[in-house]
Amino acid sequence: MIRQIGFELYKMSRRPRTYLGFAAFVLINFFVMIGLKYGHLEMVGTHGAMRTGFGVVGSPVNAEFMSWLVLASPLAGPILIMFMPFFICLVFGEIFAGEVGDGTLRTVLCRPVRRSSFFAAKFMASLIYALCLVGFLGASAYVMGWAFFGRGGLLVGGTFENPMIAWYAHRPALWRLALGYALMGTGAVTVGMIAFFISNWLHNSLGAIGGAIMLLFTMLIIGEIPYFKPIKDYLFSTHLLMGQKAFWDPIPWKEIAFSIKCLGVYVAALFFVSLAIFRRKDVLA
Amino acid sequence: MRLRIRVAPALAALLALSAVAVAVEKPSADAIIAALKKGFAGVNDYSAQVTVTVKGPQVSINGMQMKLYFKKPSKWHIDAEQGVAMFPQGNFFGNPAEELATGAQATYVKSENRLGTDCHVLKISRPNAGPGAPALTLWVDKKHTVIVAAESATESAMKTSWRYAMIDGKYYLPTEICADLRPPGGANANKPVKATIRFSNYKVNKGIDDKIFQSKPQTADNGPHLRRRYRN
Amino acid sequence: MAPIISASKLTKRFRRVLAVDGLDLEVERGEVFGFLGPNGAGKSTTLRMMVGLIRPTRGSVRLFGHDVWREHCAALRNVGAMIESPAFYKYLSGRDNLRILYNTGGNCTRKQIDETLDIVGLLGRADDKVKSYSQGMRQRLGIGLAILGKPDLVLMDEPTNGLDPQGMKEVRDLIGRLSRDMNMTVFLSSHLLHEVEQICTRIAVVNKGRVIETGNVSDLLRQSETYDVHAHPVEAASETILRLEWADVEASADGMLNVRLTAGTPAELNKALVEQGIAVSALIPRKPSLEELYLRLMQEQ
Repeated sequence: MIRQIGFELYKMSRRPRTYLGFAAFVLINFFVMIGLKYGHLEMVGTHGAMRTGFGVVGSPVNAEFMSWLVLASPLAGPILIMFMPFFICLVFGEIFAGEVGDGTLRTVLCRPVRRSSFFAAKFMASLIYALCLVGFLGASAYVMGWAFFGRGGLLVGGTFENPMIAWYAHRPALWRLALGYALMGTGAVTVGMIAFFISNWLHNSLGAIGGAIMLLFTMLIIGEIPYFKPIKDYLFSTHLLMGQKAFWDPIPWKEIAFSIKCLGVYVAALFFVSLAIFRRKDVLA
Repeated sequence: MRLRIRVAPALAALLALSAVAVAVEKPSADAIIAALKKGFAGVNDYSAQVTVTVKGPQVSINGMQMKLYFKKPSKWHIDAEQGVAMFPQGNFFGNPAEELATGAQATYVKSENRLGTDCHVLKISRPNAGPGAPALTLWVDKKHTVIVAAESATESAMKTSWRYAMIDGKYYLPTEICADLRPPGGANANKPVKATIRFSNYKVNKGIDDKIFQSKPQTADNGPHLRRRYRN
Repeated sequence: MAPIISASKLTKRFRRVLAVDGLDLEVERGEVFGFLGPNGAGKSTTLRMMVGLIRPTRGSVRLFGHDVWREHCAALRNVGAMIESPAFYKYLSGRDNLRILYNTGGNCTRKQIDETLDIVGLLGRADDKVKSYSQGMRQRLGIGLAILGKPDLVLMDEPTNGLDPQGMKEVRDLIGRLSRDMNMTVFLSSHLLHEVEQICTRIAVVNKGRVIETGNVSDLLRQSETYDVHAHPVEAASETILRLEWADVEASADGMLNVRLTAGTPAELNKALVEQGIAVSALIPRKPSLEELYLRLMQEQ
């Protein structure tokens, strides 16, 4: 199984599309850095409010702040809702449908390999990719921020849901960032699993990618309609931004645990249903 | 006639004795204020490590560290050791007695033990602070003549307390200031905001170059060479 | 010894379409087995069921005694297969493709891969990406994957598809060597009947999902052997042969009689004619080709 995962990762590494997400995040981080460096307070306008009642010396802009900015600030919304899901689905959605389309699924399944092992290896490889992509987003933001602004404590601006302004020293900031990105990874994997499921079911990578993104946006819209408020907490889209909660003080562990459970149910259900379909399906292509 | 002549001196003596007794038991509030304002008279300059913690419904600052420099008469400089330094506005870093300003009228209330320290309790009214400015209650350490606690009868009901320690065996300087207030209005009305400022690693009267007070506040520079090249 | 391939009442229905209908088949070790049939006969479906790509609706197929669907890994452990046009990862080299595809469920060394590439004539292009390969090269690579690791059983679907005549001959020779020298059993499906006739020892002909004929190639062809009989008078000769229970006769346009013996020998035929006073000037055996046999079978269907 480990070897099979290695093969899947190797195949993934040889496809240029795998690197699209990484390249995009380097670009995003670069432009954020430029905006912070030359846009000065315009980029940190939210911090003007906190100056009331406080004397401020220095600048909150540093590596930790950049990592937070692309994860949990209002700027992170488009990244988490659009960019990340798209690049994740690009890989998850192609991983099965691509093999069917190319005919290689037929070639592989003629070998003495169990379908469940093959399926699980593909899932694990996709999972590793998703976590690497999420980690890269944070790490590249951190490294760029470190190179241009240095390191220090983390000043966190408030959001609509939690208007608290908080500051954390360097070490607590690092583990909160790690927690935030881990939670972001959970959300990313959930969206990816939807594409994975569609890819396995329909054998169409474009359909898988488009279908997953469409479902994400639909869930987001449904979550905003008051009539559906009772089910909002059970929609996966509601929990995509739970990485922000890593910076609340105190950290709402119960809410985070609920989000993880909710997303875990989605991932598990999609995994097992996909596996059941894959084990029984006829490979005609 | 002989009785009235004998009672009068006795009464006069009694009154005189009473006046002396009062003078000994109840020190002058104004004298205490004056002594407070002398404040850290022997301190010409000092630097200290300051750690700020603020907890409230919409703010959470956890152990923000900064370096504080002071030089008489009123030069201040703060270096942010972790990129940024935020501290509650107000004279938390100086002699709290300076807040009293001129025109404050002090009244001695009583003696009381506060925070394990024997204190004079003074009530301060500040007509110069504006009509209706609330009174301020001060607890003053009897031994060292420093403010140990203060409570303001404002709408935010702010309470502040100071802890001190003897530095270098000579200087009695604050090691901790705690402030507790409740915003009177808004979404977080009456929810407490607690601020704690800790001072440590004092270096008193070691001499501080005036250049420090002319330079920009320094921030921590842990970045690699590239960062130094592109700094503002 | 148990057959290497054993299909029993193998059936596959795709909704309303009955692609394979109760197919029974056995292939013994060491055979080169040809699987023939028209388009839509169920050949590919049968092959796919043999390698576990398609789940049988009823019945079962066993390889080396293991049910392919229930004991997939055990059944395919010593099997190499090339089903339809071989598919590879276009963005990987030929060598990488063999390494990854074979080692998914196997273990081979670089030396074995290089040897196999040499056998199929691709060693010089081993490190080029498959997307730069021609159709013929991909076909060779598919054959290479099927024979890599020297399996005991090789399943091939149209192995010479896309190859030039030289390549076709090389593949035919290779299949012959696999059987003779490496003792492999080869099961191949092909439309090229003359090719099957040259290399296969046994065949099965399938139509509408059922086996309609199976047996050794030589036996089948011998059973289908006919004789051109030049006899005079032709009508009397024809009547005489018709009276024989063990012979069928057809008259041809040029006055010759074409006789098929279901039993008996040519000498007995000659004697029967001569005894009736018929002059037999020629008795020429005509061995049909597999194509003729096949076409005859299809016509009978």
